[in-house]
Amino acid sequence: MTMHPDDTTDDAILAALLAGERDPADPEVAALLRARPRLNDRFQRLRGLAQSLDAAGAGDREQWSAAIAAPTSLDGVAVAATAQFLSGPRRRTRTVWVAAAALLLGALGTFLVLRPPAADEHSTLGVPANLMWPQGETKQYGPFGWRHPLPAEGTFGVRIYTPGGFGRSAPLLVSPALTAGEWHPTPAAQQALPDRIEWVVEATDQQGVPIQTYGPVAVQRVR
Amino acid sequence: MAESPEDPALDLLMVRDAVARKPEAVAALGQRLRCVPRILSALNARLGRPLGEHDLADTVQDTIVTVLRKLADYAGHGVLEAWVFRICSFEMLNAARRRRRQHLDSELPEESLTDAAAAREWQLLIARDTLEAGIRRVGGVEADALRMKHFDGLSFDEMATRQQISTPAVKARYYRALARLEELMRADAPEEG
Repeated sequence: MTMHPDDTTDDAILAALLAGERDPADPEVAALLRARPRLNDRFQRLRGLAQSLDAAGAGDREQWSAAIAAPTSLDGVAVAATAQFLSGPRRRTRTVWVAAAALLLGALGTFLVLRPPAADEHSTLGVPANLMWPQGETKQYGPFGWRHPLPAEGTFGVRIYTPGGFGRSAPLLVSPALTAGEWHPTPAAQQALPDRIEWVVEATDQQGVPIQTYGPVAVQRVR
Repeated sequence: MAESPEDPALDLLMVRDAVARKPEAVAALGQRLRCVPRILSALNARLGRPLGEHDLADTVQDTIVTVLRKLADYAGHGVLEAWVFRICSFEMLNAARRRRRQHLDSELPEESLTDAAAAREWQLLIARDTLEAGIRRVGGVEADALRMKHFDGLSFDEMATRQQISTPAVKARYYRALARLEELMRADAPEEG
C-alpha cells in the first residue's frame, strides 16, 4: 500500500501505525510524518499514551503478583466476607411475603434481645467462663484461650472488636490462622487495644470457610 | 476450579458459579479474594503507610464488599487479581486521600509523604487513577478494548475472539478508543504557559 495524504485518511494511517501494521521507521512512513507535522504530533501523542497504558498494565501486574504472595493477618476477613455475602439462596425480588417474614423475625429478635438474660455468674454474653477466656474484668487481655473443637484440617481465628462492634465494624485485631486453642497477641498489640473489647473465635474448615463463630465475649481491662 | 491466577476463562466460570451461590465456587472465590487485603497492604506500604492498622482493616472490608457487589461486571478479559487490583487501587487512593484530608484538617504533619519514595508512589498512583478514570469515560466496548490490549496483554486476534468481531474491526475499535482517550485527557490537562 502506497500512502499519500490524498488517498489515505489520517485516521487510517494512525490506526495502522498504532496497531503495528506499519512501522514508523519505514522510509515511506517516516517521510510522510516529516511532511505532515500535525499528523506526526498526533501520532507521537497517541504512541506516548499507548506506552503509558502499557507501563500502567505492567506496573499493575508486577504489583499484584508480588502482593498476593504475601499473606496478611486480614486474609480471613476476605474469606469470611465472601462466604457471608454469597451465602444462602440468590436474592429475589421483594414480595409482601418476604416483608411480612422480615417483620415477624424482627419482632421475634426484639423479644429475644430485650428478654432479661438468664442469671449465670460464670458467663458473659451467654458463653460459659470455662470455654473462653478472658471474659469479664481482667488485668491483662492475653493470652486468649478457648475450648472449642477444631474442625478437621481447619483452623481457628480470633477477632477483637470494640464493644458491640462484632458484625457491625471491622475488627481491631485479627489473629493469624491457629490450630491451638490459645493465642498470644504481642504486648504492643494488646497495649494498643482499648480498655473494653469483645472478641470471638471463628472456626473455619480446610478451605478457610467459616463454619462456626463462638462469642462475642466482653472483656474489661482493669489497670 | 481456579485456584491461582492463570486462566481468565476459569476465573470467569468460578465467579459466575459463585454469584449463583454454588458452595465450592464461593469457597474458591473467598480464597482468591484474599488478594484484597494483600494488595491493599502492599499499596499502603508503598505509599508510606498513610493508613493505620484500623483504617487499613476498614478499607479492606469496604473494598471486599465493593468487589463482591461488582462481581457481575467481571468479564474474564484478564485474571481476577488484575481486575481486583484496579478496584483496590481506586479504594486505596480514596482512603488515603480521606486520611490526608483529616491530617490537613487537624494540622498534623503528613508523615507519610515526607518519604521521597512514598511521594513518588503517590504520584504514580494518581497518574494511574487518571488513566483509569479516562478509560471509564471512554466506556463501553472501546474501554474494554483498551483494557484488554494494555492491562490484560491480549493480542488483537485474542481481542477479536473475546469481542466476537473480526481482527480488522477490533483494531479499528482500539484506535478509536485510544484517540478518544487522548482527546479526553488532553481536554482535562492544564493548559501550558
